[in-house]
This record gives sequence, structure tokens and C-alpha cells, in this order.
Amino acid sequence: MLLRSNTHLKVTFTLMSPKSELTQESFDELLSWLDANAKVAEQKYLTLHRGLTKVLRYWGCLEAEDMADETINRVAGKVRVIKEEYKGNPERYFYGVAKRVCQEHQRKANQSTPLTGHVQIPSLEPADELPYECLEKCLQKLKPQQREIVGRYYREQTPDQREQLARHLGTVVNTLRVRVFRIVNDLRKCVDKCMERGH
Amino acid sequence: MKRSLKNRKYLRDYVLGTHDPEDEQQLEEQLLIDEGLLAELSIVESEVFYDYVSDTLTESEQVRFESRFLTTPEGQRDLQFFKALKSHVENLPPAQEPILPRSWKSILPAFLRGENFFLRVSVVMVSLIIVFGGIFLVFRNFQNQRVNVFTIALGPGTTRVIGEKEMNLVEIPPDTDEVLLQLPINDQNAETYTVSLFTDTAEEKLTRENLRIESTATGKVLVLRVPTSSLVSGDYRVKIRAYMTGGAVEDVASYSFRVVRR
Repeated sequence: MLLRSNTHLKVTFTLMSPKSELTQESFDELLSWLDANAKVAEQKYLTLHRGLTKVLRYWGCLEAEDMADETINRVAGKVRVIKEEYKGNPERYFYGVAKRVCQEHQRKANQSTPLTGHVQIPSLEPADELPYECLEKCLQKLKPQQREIVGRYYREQTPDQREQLARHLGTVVNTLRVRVFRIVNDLRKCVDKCMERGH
Repeated sequence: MKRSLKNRKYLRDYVLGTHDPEDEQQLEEQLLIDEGLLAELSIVESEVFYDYVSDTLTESEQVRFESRFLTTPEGQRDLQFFKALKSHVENLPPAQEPILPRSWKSILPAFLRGENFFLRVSVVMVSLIIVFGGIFLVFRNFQNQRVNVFTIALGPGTTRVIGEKEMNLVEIPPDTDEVLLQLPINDQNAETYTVSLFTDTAEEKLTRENLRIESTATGKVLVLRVPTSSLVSGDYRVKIRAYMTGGAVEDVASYSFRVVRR
């Protein structure tokens, strides 16, 4: 993904194939197409990149983040012409390019790796204890209340139980759901780092 | 679009690949510009992961989930994480001492407990509008409460000979709320005056104390305010008593008048 500086996004390295090299000029042009306001354009770019990565993953494109970079690079390379000739939402244009990028990628992948039609699923029993140990360590970094919220949320799974828990906390179920997701997301990042370190 | 894109059911179907493909492109285009939708999709994904490790997905959902998520390194990592999380939750002691303090917000209705800022602001604004609107209406009604006052100066101009007596005639128009009787008086150098109203049977109807002389176009007067409800048609007498400096009290004047209610 393109890196960002303090105030503006800057192209810091060339991505993907040589045909989609990106210059700072074309990248700035791309941002101005997303929005006339530089700050808004920056935010739109980041959302666009996240959205493309997500959608490409759903289309079964491995290395979805790189594919999102490639999509943006291709659009940026032609953005001057696109701005003049294309009438419509930028996201629709990116969407179409992403489809092509993904299809090309999958064609290449199919040529090099024959499909077996079988997905290798790991056993639900873990091979080692590391994820468990990491999770316990990361849970200890949470505040006691956060630990209890997560524990109770997953243990009390019926709608009534969750409504009761939300009421107890002075909130509504959907807000509680978002709060739990944020805690779990932080936990997940912490566990990933812990597993990368190996302890 | 038939359904809201943020409809959790539709997003769950999308995650599991069981969604209506008709709406797919619109959802995916929206994902490129809508941070909130992306966040909601991530939440739904984590819920589906937990359901998978909890073995609550149907068989076909499991197959789709596995082919969609578990073929990538990220998916494998997530799977390990949620398996560990589920194990942790299952091993929690059942009778754990609750440490979550009860929030004061728990007494509020659900829509006020939500974190929808605009909704809460709207509720507060509507409440303020109702309160200030109510105050405004009360104030306006108060101002609109006009008091119909009938002013009459007792004295030579309003006297009639009634029977054998010469009396002031006070004809009170309908819808009058208050009668202002202007009682001519010579300056007695009194500090204050007390005026009492009596019926012709000497029943005292009212007394006003601490009155002071006022100057009008017709001379100096004491003004006696009498609610119309205190006056029925009939004969009345007002007596004026002066409270002099030094404590002396003198009866200084009296007026008789006949009230006629129209």
C-alpha cells in the first residue's frame, strides 16, 4: 500500500508490475479526481484502498492488498484521460478495473497452479498452544471490565441475554456489539504480534 | 435496491456467499466509499468466524465459509484466534463475580442509551423546543390576559339625585374586570390613606391600606381598585381615613355611589 506522510499521501515506491509504475504527479491527479479538497481526497483514498482490498479478497484474489495497489496504479496512470472522458462515480471505475485485475491475476494463477478442487482446512483442534498462550497474555493487557464484557458477550449469546448485558452497561445491543468488536480486534492484533514473535 | 446495504442479514449472507447477487455490485461499490459499511462488514465477519468455531453454521454455510476464508493465511490466522477465544470463553468460571458496574444510563430508554449522536441531539433539541415552546405559550397567554378596567371619578360630575339623596352613579359596562374609583381628596398632609368600601348595609367589602395621593388631570385623587366581582348592583359607600405623621388617624372623606351593572 502507498505510504502516507504527515499531511499528504506520497508515492514512496513503485508497486507491482513495471507497466503500472506510479508517479507522484499522476497520484496527485488521482487524489484531485477523488475530491478537490486534499484532506477529503486523502480520506477517500484510504477508504477506497481498504474497500478494494476487502472486495478483492471476497472475489478470491490472493494478495488482495497488492491487487488493490495495482488497481489504483492503473487508474492513476490514466487519470488525466479518465477525468476528461469518463462520466460517472470514481468508485464505479475503480470497481471495473479491480474486476479486470482480479480476473487477470486468477487466470495467471490457474495457469501456473492446477486446481485440485479441495480446500485444506486445518483441524479445529490447534496444533500448538501458542495462540492460546498469546491470547491469555493479551487478555491480561485489557482492563478487567473489557475482559468481562468480552467474556459475557460471547458466553451470553441469546438476544435476551445480550439485551440485558447492554442495558446493564447503559447502552444498546448494537453499540455493545461494536464495542466488543473493537476490543476483539485489538486482541487479534495483539495475538498476531505475539505469534510473530513466537511467544 | 431492495434491502438496505447495512442490513446485517444481507451482509451476513454476503460474507457466507448466500446473498442475492442482484445487489452484489451495488454493495461492493459502496464498500469502496463507505467506511461505516466496511466496519460493519468486519464486525459481521468476526461474528461468522465465531459461529464457525462454535459449530453453529449450517453444513452448506460451513463449506462456503471454508472455501472463502480458510484458504488464505489471514483466514487461517483469524481461525486460530477465534478458536483460542472460544476456548477461553468456555473455560471461564461460571459463577464469576461480576465486576461490571451498573451504568446510570441503564435507566434510560433504549434510544437514549444508543450512541447515535444525532438521534440523541435531536431528542434533546425536541425536548428543549417543547420546554421553551411551553414557556413561550404560557408567557404569551399571560400577556394576553387583558384586564378590562373601567375608571370613574366620583364627584360632582357623576352624581344623580336618587330618591332623596344625591349619589354618584357608577354604571359598569359589561366585560369589565376591575373598577378604578378615583376619589377626589384635598391634600391632608397625611402619610398614607386607608380606603374602605361598604355596602349600604354597612358590610365591609374591602379595605386598601397605605394608599397615597395621585395627581390626575382633574386634581388630586386616591385610586381604589375594586374587582368587579366585588360589586353587584346596589348602593355603596367608601370611607377615607388619613394616617397623619405622629400616628393620628382622621376620617377625611366619604363617598356614596350606586352601582348599576349593565
